[in-house]
Amino acid sequence: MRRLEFVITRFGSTLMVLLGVTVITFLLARTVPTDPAALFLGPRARPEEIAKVAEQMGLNDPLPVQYVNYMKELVQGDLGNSISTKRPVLDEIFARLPATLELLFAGMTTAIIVGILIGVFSARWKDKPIDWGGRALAILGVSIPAFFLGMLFQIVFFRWLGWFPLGGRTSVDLRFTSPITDVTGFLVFDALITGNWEGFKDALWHLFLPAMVLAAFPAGLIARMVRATMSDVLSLDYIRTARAYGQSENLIAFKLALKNAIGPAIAVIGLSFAYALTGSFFVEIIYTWPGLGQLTVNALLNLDYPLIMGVTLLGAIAYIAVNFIVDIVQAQLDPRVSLDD
Amino acid sequence: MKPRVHNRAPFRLLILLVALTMLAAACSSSGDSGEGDGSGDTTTTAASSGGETTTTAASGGSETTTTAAEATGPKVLKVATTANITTWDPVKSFSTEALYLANIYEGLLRINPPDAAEQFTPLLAESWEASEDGLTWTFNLRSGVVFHDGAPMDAAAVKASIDAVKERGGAGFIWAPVDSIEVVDGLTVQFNLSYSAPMELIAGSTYGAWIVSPNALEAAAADDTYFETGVEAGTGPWVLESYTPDTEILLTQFTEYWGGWDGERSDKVLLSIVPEAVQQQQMLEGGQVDLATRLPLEATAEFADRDGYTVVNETSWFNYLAYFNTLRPPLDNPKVRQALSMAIPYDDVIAVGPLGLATQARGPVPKGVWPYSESTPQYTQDLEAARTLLEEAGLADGFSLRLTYAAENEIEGRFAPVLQAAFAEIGVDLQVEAIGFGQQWEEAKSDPANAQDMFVVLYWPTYADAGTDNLWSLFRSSEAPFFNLSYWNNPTYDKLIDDAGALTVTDPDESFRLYGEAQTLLVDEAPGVFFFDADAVYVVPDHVSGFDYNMNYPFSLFFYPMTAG
Repeated sequence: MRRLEFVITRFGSTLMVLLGVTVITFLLARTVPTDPAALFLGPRARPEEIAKVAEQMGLNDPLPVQYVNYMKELVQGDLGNSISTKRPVLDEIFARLPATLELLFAGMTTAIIVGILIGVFSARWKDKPIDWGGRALAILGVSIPAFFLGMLFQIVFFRWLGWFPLGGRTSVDLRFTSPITDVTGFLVFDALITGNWEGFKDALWHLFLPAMVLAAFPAGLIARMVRATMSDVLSLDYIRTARAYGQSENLIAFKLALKNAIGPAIAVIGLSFAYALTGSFFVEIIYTWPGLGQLTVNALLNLDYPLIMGVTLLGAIAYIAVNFIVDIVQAQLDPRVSLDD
Repeated sequence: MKPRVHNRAPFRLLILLVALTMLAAACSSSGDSGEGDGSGDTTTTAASSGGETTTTAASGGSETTTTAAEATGPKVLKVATTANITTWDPVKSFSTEALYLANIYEGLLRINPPDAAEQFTPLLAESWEASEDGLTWTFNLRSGVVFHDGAPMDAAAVKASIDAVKERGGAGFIWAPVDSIEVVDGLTVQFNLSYSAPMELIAGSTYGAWIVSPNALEAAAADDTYFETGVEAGTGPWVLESYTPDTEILLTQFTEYWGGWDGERSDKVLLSIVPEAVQQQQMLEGGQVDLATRLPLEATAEFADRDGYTVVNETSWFNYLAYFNTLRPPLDNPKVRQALSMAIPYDDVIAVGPLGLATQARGPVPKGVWPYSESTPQYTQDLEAARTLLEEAGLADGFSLRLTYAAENEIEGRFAPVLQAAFAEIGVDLQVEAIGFGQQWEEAKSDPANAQDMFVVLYWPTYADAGTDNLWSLFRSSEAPFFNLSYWNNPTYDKLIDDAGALTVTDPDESFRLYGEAQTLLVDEAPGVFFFDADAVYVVPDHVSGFDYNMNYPFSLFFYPMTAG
């Protein structure tokens, strides 16, 4: 019952947040001191053409009218057409979403596994060499900006060692040698389930570096959080009791302590998901990954505001949804957390 | 207590993972269906649009694919490009997509590079002639040419295409001299001009001169976005097989191409859109692509010294200049403008900006383009003379100026500080400011009295006539200046280029003489600084043959003769 109430109020506040997001992005996009119609036509456009396009795009209406028109269509699920590609914004977004999600999924899975492992190992062997190494890795992960790490990896793993490709989702040749059949849009997965071994290797090979770069920050964050909470938990009475019963340190750390230490880490995972979504933009640009990041950067450069609004809304929805899920999962896992506000 | 702990900890982790997986899956399934409507659809439309109207084009293309792929795999030319597609509509197109469209569509003729034996290559027109007064042009069309959608290419199609461009085309203004187009018979089309103009140069334009299937034109007239999913209906050698926005374009042979497919040809051309020059370089070096359209300038010299690559270095249409705002003191004084022009070390500008890959400009007409003249004067750096001129203008104590350049243009960004240092030598304090490309135009146009003093521009003619374009657009006075953002107003100059323009067809020699006079006057009066004509530089690996660069089509490469062996 309480959970149902929580869900309902949460939906209400979500709608308010989304409404706020549309107002702010809309105003920002429209008050930038550049004429989208002129930008759309390029510097060689004649004034009368610019006037015509401005009229077509509804740019001559007062801002509130433009906003209301936009919202009317938005409510019907129409986000308008992109200015630069002229295709529906939703099509543009959905065409690139799988690439971004694949990267995000690979990055976050790696981050969660590696982060928790480092955290637990650090806490289990606190102030030992393992801990020092783990802490150093975590600090590096948190503090190196993604765009720098991305380029560093390219220099080391592509230029020097030649182990991984520079960028892209697959080799240019792949579509002719062993094209991957589109099932879910996750190329690695699609190649695997269609038994396309060459395609699987190629897609995975291309996914590796960007996923690692994307994982670095959240992995560091999770590792630090897990280590800290684990350290606290390991000094609690029930752990001391378990030790007194002669339980092995490994069992204590990985089974008894971790389950109580994992709660705060889940909150961090939620937060770092939001980071990863925007962080993936840098990573995508550096690794020419054909996802939302590239789309967004192009949209910003072209002042393609229907597209900017679309991506921003999507980001907001994803962020809210992940936090929502994290709250519920956390309450489920940890009886101390309640869903009451 | 203990067994419960044992069971639930992994179980809860599992819940978390499942939750995340479901989120991703939820998004991905929607992404899936979206892709069906989006890029997947694009592919289908491209093929089926041909299929709807007639089956020949689309099925011809795909048959080639399967048979060739089954045998040895298709022969693919792989190219890395930076060119975005702002529109697939060949009528509206006036931007970077010309790289692709120029391989899908054709015009009546093509203008050859300056060093070629013939001035033109006939394409859809086999021959043409102008009347004595230059007012009536008759084009005889090639017979048996079909569009990719199966429609025959004839005089009516030519008329419909050019009328459409005149009406709604991005470069529609190039047809301004054309008063009416007459279909004389099935394969003869006649242009009636309101004033004489070089129609071959206009018909050979990159933009606004493609001939499009009447079916597609009709559909586009009814639905403005008809072409945008990647539909095409040209006569060119390549059919658009698939298109993934911002990612790649795949062209495949048009089996019924009138030029035929004898000899060494590629089966397909795969164009990967890679915006980063460094990445293009890596792809070229790694053999992932056969050709890269944008390499870091620094790298080209390096390639020249390496085995396996040829560096093609040609003149281009790209002319770098800067306007002086001649409306405002002290730049309203020609002496001041001359002094500033004399203060500039042009060799240093060229060495620093385009890394030496350019030649000093002779006015705004790029080398190799009509009516470029070797006798147009140039300024060379002479600080003493510059100081004297400033003294004569009563400005020996110096003054300050504000210069803007396009932040997106790295060449401008590199040489702008050279100007700053040079002007400091004659006591002029130059503030250099990088602003957005669009912003820069807007500032100069909106309020001339408060606009920037100097404005760096990269300019090129729309078609191969810099007389009616560069000389006219950039410096002829008009009531509401469009490109003449120096606001220079010189009646003598105006008259010279108007007269020269009118004589281009009927008396080319006199036209050239008048244009020459106008250019000399222009450089002397210096309403702008003329920096350099940039080189077009391509690195061609030895395994690529038939590389075909034509300076008259600066945004295009023609893949028809090119193969990667």
